[in-house]
Amino acid sequence: MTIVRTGARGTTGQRRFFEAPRAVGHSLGMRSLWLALALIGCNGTIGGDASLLCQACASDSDCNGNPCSKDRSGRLFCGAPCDSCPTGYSCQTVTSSSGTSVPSCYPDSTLCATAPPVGDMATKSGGKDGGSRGFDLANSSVDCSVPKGGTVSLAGGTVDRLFFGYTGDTRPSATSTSYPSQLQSVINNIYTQMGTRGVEFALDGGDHMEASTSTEASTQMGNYITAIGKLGKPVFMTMGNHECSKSFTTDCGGGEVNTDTKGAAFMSALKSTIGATEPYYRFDVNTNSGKAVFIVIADDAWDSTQSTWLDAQLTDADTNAKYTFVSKHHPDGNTDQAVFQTIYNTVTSHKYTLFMTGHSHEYKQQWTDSRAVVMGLGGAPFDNPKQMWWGYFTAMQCSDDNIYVTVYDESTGNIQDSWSVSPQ
Amino acid sequence: MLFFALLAALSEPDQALRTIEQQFAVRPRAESEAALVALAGRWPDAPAAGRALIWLGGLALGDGRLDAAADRFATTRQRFSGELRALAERGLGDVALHRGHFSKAAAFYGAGLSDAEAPSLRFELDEKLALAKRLHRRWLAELAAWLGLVLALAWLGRGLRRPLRLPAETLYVLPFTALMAALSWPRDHGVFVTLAWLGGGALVICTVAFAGSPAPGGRRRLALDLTAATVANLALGYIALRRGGIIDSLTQSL
Repeated sequence: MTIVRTGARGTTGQRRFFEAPRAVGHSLGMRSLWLALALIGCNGTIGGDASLLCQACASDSDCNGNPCSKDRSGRLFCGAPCDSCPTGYSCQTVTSSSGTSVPSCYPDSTLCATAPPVGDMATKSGGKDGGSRGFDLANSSVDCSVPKGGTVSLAGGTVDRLFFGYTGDTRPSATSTSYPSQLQSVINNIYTQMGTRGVEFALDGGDHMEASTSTEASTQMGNYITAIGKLGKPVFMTMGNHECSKSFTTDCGGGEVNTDTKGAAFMSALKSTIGATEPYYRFDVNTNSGKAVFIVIADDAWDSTQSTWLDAQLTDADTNAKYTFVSKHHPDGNTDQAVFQTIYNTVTSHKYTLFMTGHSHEYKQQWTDSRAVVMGLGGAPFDNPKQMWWGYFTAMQCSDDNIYVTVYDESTGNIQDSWSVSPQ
Repeated sequence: MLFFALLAALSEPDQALRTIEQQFAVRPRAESEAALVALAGRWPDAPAAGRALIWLGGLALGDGRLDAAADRFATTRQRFSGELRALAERGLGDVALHRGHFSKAAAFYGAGLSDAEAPSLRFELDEKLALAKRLHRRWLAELAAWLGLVLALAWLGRGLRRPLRLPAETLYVLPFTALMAALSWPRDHGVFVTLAWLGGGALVICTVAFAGSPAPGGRRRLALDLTAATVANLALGYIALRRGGIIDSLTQSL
């Protein structure tokens, strides 16, 4: 067995923390410790790992305790402990990605790419990626390229494959006459990025305002309409609890949404953008693989009429739709009003593809229901120190007919998470 | 060898980054991360490498791999300037916040603010800086609450005349508390943690107060007992809410 250095980085000949008992000591205690470590496999993973020599890296954490430094080509590669340099390598001082100078095995040719093979090294583990750090660029068997798309409106639409965006909770943190300019820039960015990615339309999860007067409510809805204009395609809004002036434990059902200070501003915006006259609505999109039904629920304007309507839509979709997407403000588990859970139970008693919500200022795929996703990071104040980013997700119907959900961080534009679900 | 074939195939880093992004959804996460590592190693000084590092850091942070996330962000911060450096500082602040190092988080967010240019990023860092400071204050308040709780328990338990055992009254409340916590478990982790702390803490307060309650005394002692019980319960309530992390969501809902 090749014993590799496993202590802290240092020059050859430095004392090592974990070495064979012959080199370190002869006490029974040390032998026992070494044996125990060997048995649990610690001997190859604590500190420097020679098996990654000249493997590509991005920073020190890829090199299992060794420095990640440039060779003469300017590319980054892992080093190895100086006491395990194979033929063609020697110990030299290199600058790690963290900026510190440390001794490491370095190819005599100064080029890792053309350095001699490291066949006499310890068995290659391949590191945490389990092998070559390559990336097969051959096309995946699943086509998830941006679809050609088509026109979608409240009256319906036709596309080749679905591709839509979703965000929620875009409200300011405090009552104000209008959106603060910086918040406006966040929401603008979200919809601009959705547009750049080529979505066909978008939905939101509600909570567009933090207002106390009708003027504030109208102005903030106007600000939101400006932001969704960046997408240049329809945005189907969901009513949130901030679109009703009542306490969060009561709602604006029975038509009160039309007379409520904030509800009226929301309804006016809904009508001017997509033409909806009720806070709950449905639209159908025909795809190459079948019909997709989108059902937008207003759980803060709940009444028996909407309840009957919802059941009828879901029942119809069970028979006629390949996909059923449901948007609602409050997520599964929210008990601000008892009816919220009843609505969720109604939806889950039917077929559904995704249950999309907001309200909680976080992103999560509910672990109690893998089709339920919360996206409440549209710009509203952070309330989860472990989820401090704003963003959105896109949902795409790929060539295998599954729906691929991709979650984006607005500040970086980077993907935060990705997963897929079958049609229903 | 596959890796080198890849590098030969890619002509420029931005194209490589786009390819990784386009295929992210249909590939195993490990493959995409390996490709990002390959990109950042192949063109270490290109802005795309900085974006790859930030991306790797974000993925590691999302998975709870805090050391790896910190390494990616620290490397970016050391190697790049401007917006990429600001994003790295944002990431380092997030890592510190995950670890409960609020002052350190605030320092990174503050540094990010001085490097950031985009209004949306500045807004985000502003919000995070305020949150880090708020969480630091709450941490200090929790320390004070613990002190109050310990002092109140010491007062209530003075003498310890009886053996430590649950008073009969709590046996009626215990199943209810346990049921509430159990119901919240699959729905809301924060509420579950809060209820668990409240339930467990209340048992301790009841047990100590019952075991240590002295013989009836005057009004002054009764007032002191009531004060101590109030302090203990208020302190416990604050600790439970902070531990559950639901203070902000609670105040926003209300």
